[in-house]
Amino acid sequence: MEKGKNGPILRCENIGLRFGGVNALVDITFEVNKGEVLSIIGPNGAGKTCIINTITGFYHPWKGKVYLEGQEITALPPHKICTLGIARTFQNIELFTGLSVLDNLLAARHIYLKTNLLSNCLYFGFAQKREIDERKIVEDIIDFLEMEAIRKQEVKILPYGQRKRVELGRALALEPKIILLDEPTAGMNLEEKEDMVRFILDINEEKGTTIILVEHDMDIVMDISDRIIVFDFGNKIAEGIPDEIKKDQRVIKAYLGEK
Amino acid sequence: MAHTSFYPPSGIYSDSYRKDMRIVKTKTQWVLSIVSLIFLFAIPQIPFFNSPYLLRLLIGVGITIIICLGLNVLTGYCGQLNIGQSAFVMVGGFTSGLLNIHLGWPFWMCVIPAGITSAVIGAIFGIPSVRLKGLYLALTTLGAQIILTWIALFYIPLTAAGFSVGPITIGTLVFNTPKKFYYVAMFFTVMMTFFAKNMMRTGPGRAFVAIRDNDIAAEAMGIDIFRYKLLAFMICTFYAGVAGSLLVHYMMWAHLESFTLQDSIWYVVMVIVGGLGSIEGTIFGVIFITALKELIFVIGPMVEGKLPFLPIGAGSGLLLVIIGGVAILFLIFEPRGLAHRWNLVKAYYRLWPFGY
Ligand SMILES: Nc1ncnc2c1ncn2[C@@H]1O[C@H](COP(=O)(O)OP(=O)(O)O)[C@@H](O)[C@H]1O
Ligand SMILES: [Mg+2]
Repeated sequence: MEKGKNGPILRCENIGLRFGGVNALVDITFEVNKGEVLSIIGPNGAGKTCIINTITGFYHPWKGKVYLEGQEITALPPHKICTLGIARTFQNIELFTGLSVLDNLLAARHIYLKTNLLSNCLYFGFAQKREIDERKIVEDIIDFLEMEAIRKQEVKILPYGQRKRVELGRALALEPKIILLDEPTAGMNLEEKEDMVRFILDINEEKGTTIILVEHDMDIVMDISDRIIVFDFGNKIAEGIPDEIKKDQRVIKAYLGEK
Repeated sequence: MAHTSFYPPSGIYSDSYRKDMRIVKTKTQWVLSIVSLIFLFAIPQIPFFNSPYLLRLLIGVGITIIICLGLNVLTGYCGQLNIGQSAFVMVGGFTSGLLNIHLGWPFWMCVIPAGITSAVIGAIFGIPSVRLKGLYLALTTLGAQIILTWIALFYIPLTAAGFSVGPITIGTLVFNTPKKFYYVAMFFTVMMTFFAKNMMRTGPGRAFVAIRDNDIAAEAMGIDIFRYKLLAFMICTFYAGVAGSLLVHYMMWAHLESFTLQDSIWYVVMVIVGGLGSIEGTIFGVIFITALKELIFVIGPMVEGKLPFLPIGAGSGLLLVIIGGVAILFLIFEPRGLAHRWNLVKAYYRLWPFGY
């Protein structure tokens, strides 16, 4: 695969994360190459969400470092990390429930809005122009994710599958370099899953966005991943291309075999 | 890749987006808006409407709307309870009054410094409270009410006693009667409403609601929660300060009694009844509660007269009970406030005659 040649965009180095006596992550080291789809798999409680939270600044490890394009980001708060180009979705959908689909996506455009309060007060002129520009960008994303019909609906009334899609749209609105997806197809029916996979691949291929995917559906993982990392009890037990992972004895024992 | 752009081409939509983002959309709405604005400013000239009683009431409503707009930005949009708003009205009022009598500044030079002073004091109380949530935050703002009143009462002799303030003037024009002051009040009310609406329908408003609805996701979307909560606090108290400035120059008298905890609680009730997170709702809430208050002021003494076994003052006691009751009823049955009713009516009108 030529994607791997682009070199690393993200690097986690000896990450250790603890909650009281629980070791959620133990000495985790891996790199993510620019433009690849990297999947993180492992049984429940393996630490997959923890590593996402660590990369995005929600958890701060007691040991180890996270680098984005060579710059250390370990101690930064989530909102700073986000502006550096890392977007995410959540395992248990976290949307702005009182806002419409459109406004949820617009809220994510926040990092690009540099209007001052005075021009917002006056609205006409500067602020209006910016609002229209942002609206255009967000409408393109809505078209891309085929959400035109629900753009004005409050997200709290949407079915589960569509809310997951809104969350992906909101992450896209940040125009990130890397998107971390925490179980994006969980709880979806087959058709919704296929759509979601198609969107993920399109984002990766056409825009070159690096994808870090946490996913339980092995067909999807084996199908779309460039590389896979396997976690078990907070340890990284394997890393490689899908064909290697399928054959790895430890993985089969720890994860695939349990089904 | 054959694609020139990542997303499918969308054409030039900017004009339709501009239209879609308008507040006033149809011709009928334009006509109605303009007519009501003209009516609003014509009221002092219309017989029957221009009674001093009604004008005083409307001035009170206008100033209270400004106070409650600020409160709704903080409480309704950003989700931070504030039960000390009248203390910040006081800060603005005293600042404006002191600038006026000590430095001889006219109202027009005092009003913005009044807002800013209030916002700065608001920020001082806001900094610790943005880290708190719910009841703890409410207690901090209650603390602001008590501490600021305390300072005004015991540390500044002038504010403790109250002092007279000059009226608002433009050239030789003096706005010292309700009929004249009405124009100043409405000018500020309309302007501050316009500003609030615009802030809330653009970036800052979305950031506030994002924080209110889901602070974890807001952080993940790059919204600096600390900064924005503080900003909401400062907008809230800036509005209070401007209203306070208007109030003292209207009454030509600055006194502690105009800024009580009870006032603060009424502001919260008005915002709840009108609709949390709605600019239109704020206006409805203030009008509704003010009207209710007036009604009870009329009915209260009548009831007392008819029922001699009631103790003296039962009428005004009744007021509190009824208003408290109304707030509770709204919280239970219509948590989205009058604004939601209004939207239903509008939707009904749009679809008429086809109903739902
Ligand atoms: N905020 C937290 N407080 C305490 N323990 C946590 C917290 N978050 C995760 N953990 C623990 O860390 C381990 C890994 O969790 P997680 O990363 O959510 O697993 P998964 O791989 O299923 O996403 C689990 O044992 C979990 O109980
Ligand atoms: Mg998880």
